[in-house]
Amino acid sequence: MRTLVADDDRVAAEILSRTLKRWEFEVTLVTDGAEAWQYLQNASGPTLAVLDWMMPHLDGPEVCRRVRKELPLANMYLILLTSLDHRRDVVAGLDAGADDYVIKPFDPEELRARMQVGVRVLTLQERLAERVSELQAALSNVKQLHGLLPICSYCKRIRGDDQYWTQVESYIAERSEAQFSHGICPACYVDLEKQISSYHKDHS
Amino acid sequence: MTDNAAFDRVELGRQMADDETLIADVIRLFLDDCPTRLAEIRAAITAQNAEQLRTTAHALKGAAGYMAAARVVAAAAALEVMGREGRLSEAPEAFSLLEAESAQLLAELRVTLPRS
Repeated sequence: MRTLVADDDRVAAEILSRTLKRWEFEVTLVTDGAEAWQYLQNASGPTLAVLDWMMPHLDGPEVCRRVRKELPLANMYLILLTSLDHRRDVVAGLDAGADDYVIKPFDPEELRARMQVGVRVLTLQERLAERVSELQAALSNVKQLHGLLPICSYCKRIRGDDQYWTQVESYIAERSEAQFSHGICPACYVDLEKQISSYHKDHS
Repeated sequence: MTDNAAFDRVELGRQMADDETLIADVIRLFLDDCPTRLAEIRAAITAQNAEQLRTTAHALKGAAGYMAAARVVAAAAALEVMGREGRLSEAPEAFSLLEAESAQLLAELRVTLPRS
């Protein structure tokens, strides 16, 4: 899973990035909030970010706020790092758009568990997005059969957007998953039979 | 941990999942960074800049937390609060304590490093 670590303290950054790499996260390290924001703006696909609260240029909550305001559809899970005596700020961090927080110095097992929650949420959202786009594709097929269709009252051909007149079955087959098997209905069978016998009568 | 040890070696190991290479690398980083952090705090006090005192003390507090160095954390936290509340008159004395605690911590950390 693609993961951003943003911390201006070398000690914290080193511990975090090496710990996450050991757990097989694909880590990018930045050292201030502005770099974090730049990275997240260009990220594509599910992204986890561990953001220190206090950083130069932009603090962690401000990065969260920008992500939620300017990238509302981005699949990002944001974890804020905060010190124990700033615990009361947690509500402000979550209000800013963070998904979770971890108290520094972090407990490795707790961090791992919270990262796993992030992975689970991002994976679910990714699957959901895939499903939505499949449904949208299916819906666009169905939509092509909606609306007012100009049809010839006599031969029953339909005029397409290209202005050509097409037989009903090819018009539908092109715009849906439907296929046609040709046969004859009982009423037409009776008519046809009449036509054939009158033809034989006229020519005998 | 003995009563007067500057850091808790067991807790430090636990925070880094007992990865000895990581522990040694991080201790080296801290040994490198700590004097700079102290100099930044001293500069903030000299300049009577409360906001700078708050942020520089906060930074050292965070790094010392990873070393499980409770007394340096407490001394840096006291300076951070002074910075936040603008109580700079008390800062020089608190800084002397922080310097003393840091000196002891650095000495103890150096001893734990494998000889290279």
